Amino acid sequence: MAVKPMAVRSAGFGETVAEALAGGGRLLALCRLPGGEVGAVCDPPAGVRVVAATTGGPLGRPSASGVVAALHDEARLASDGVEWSTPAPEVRVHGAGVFTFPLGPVRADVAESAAWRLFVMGDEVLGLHMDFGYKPRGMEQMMEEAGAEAGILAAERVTGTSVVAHAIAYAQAWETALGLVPPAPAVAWRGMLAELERLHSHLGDLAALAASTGLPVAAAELLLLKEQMLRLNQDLTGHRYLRGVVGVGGLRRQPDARALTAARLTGMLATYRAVISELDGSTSFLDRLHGAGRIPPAWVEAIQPVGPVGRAAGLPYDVRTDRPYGPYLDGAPAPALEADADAWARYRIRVAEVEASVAWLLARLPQSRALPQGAERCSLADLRRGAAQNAGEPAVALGRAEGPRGEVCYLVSPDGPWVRVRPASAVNWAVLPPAVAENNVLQDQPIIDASFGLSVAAMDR
Amino acid sequence: MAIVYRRWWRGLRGSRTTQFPWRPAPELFPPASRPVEVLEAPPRGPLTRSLAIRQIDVGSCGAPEAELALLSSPTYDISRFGYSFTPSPRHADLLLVTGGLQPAMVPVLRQTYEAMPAPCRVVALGCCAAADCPLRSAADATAELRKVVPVHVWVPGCPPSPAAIIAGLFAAVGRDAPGLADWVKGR
Repeated sequence: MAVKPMAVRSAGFGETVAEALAGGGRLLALCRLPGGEVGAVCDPPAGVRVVAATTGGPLGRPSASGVVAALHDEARLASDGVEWSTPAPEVRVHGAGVFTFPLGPVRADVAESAAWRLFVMGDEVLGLHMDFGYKPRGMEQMMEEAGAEAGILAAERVTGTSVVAHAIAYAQAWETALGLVPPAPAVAWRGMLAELERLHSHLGDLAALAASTGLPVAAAELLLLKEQMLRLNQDLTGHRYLRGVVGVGGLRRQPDARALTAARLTGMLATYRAVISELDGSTSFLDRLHGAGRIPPAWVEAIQPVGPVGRAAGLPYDVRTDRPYGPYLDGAPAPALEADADAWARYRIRVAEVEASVAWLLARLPQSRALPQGAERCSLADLRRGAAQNAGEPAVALGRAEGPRGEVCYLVSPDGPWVRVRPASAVNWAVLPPAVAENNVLQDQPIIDASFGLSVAAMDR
Repeated sequence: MAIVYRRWWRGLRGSRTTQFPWRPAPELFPPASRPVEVLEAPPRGPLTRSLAIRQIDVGSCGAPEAELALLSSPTYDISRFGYSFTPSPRHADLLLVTGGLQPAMVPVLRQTYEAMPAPCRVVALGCCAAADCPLRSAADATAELRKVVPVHVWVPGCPPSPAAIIAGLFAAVGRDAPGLADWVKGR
């Protein structure tokens, strides 16, 4: 949807944002708008609004509930040259017997670079401080330089394992901005690819969770299933992580429908159910997961985590059902909801989502056979015409999709061009420190980490 | 724990036995058009058959890490060659670099490399690591991997498949190509 920015005085910025979010709205992103002013993208039930603040003078820190997520965008705003009136306090923990346990940026066996400091007293974790910023790659600038069409290459590389979700959100944002309507077969394929991506991502997360609880057999079984899904992707599109398929205005490459057979999905599901039933019956697994990394309710309310992390904390928000788009207009996979907000709840959500995605894919398999070949994309002329017609339009277009880790938002404007990303992990990292500091011991840390399954690359985009 | 493993073992021996794809499909190996490239001769030394590998992410998207996690899965299982990942660079014989080098990671990369005992081999993974990715902007290109550490082997791909990574590891320790071909064919 396209929304025009609404300018307000900077002094009342936080209050205006809070007002725009009244009645249960969500803050989607906080960023510098194409015109140079700082803006908040709000998603109240009445429809998306962009609240802009003028740049003169420091900004009042947004203080309303739901706006706390904005704190997380602060570092990025600071890099845009924005000063906040209250600096972020330096994290320090004092006391007899309190130790700082530094971790990173080179950490674990295979991990992305981020530096963490765990404050511990004996085994108990008192707090966690996360330092990002070791590898910001300037993806947004890359997308802006590349332009609408080629920028999708960068969008697919913001987070390596949420390729399709980013590509769909990016494509939808530009299609809105340029007034394009992708052909129906392309939209249908996008949905299938998004669910296939959810399958391999969730299987990898579940394998990491099994490995973190010391169950290598379960991890090996789940990784085998993940490899099966990656090979299915390879046969379907020529890329294991489904890069190079979704394009602005449709698809860039036609998937080979013959590779996506019901037998491959049901075969995977049968083994998967056996592995999960064994995991559910392993007392050591249950013991480690129950109550580990529980997000305090106040933080759930304030940050409103998205994706499996949010749905495991009693927030039913799912872009596929709440703001249905393209492939999900005629039905989304069955939603899952848990209330405990702990590692076990996040595990249950992922387990249920794998089942739901396979069921959704199986129901749409016959249609995929009937999809016409060829006309999978708006013509390049359409794209250029759209760009020419909409040049100089100040409106910001929003595109969003539900990725394996949750809601992915893209804000684009043809004027510039200008692109901003709000990946799911950018919200969800904010609830990790309070969850770790909630009655956990140091040995729970790998389990909590695996149960969240967040991406550093999305933060350092 | 023992009870848990017995349960697993019973499950595995039963009708639900998984068909282990012991060998990766040959098509997953680097194609002839994009082979693993030896940029510099890797240093000679002992321990070519029991490599301890330290991975460092200097600016990746996370996909190479996902593929590296699969190296420990039964499909690829690098432990059968005697290879393993180590948390400490001080125990490592080989540095696997993922992603395009970003400025903040330059001192971290240098420290990690200097902490490793000689002989130290360096394998760079992916298109971004080798700086020929079409996505690289001019700003990124100022930080070049080879200005900081020597890079012996480059594995192409975005991300490189696990089998291609194994081929890169073989190249870094000078394991001969015939051995690799035999392994692919399953001899």
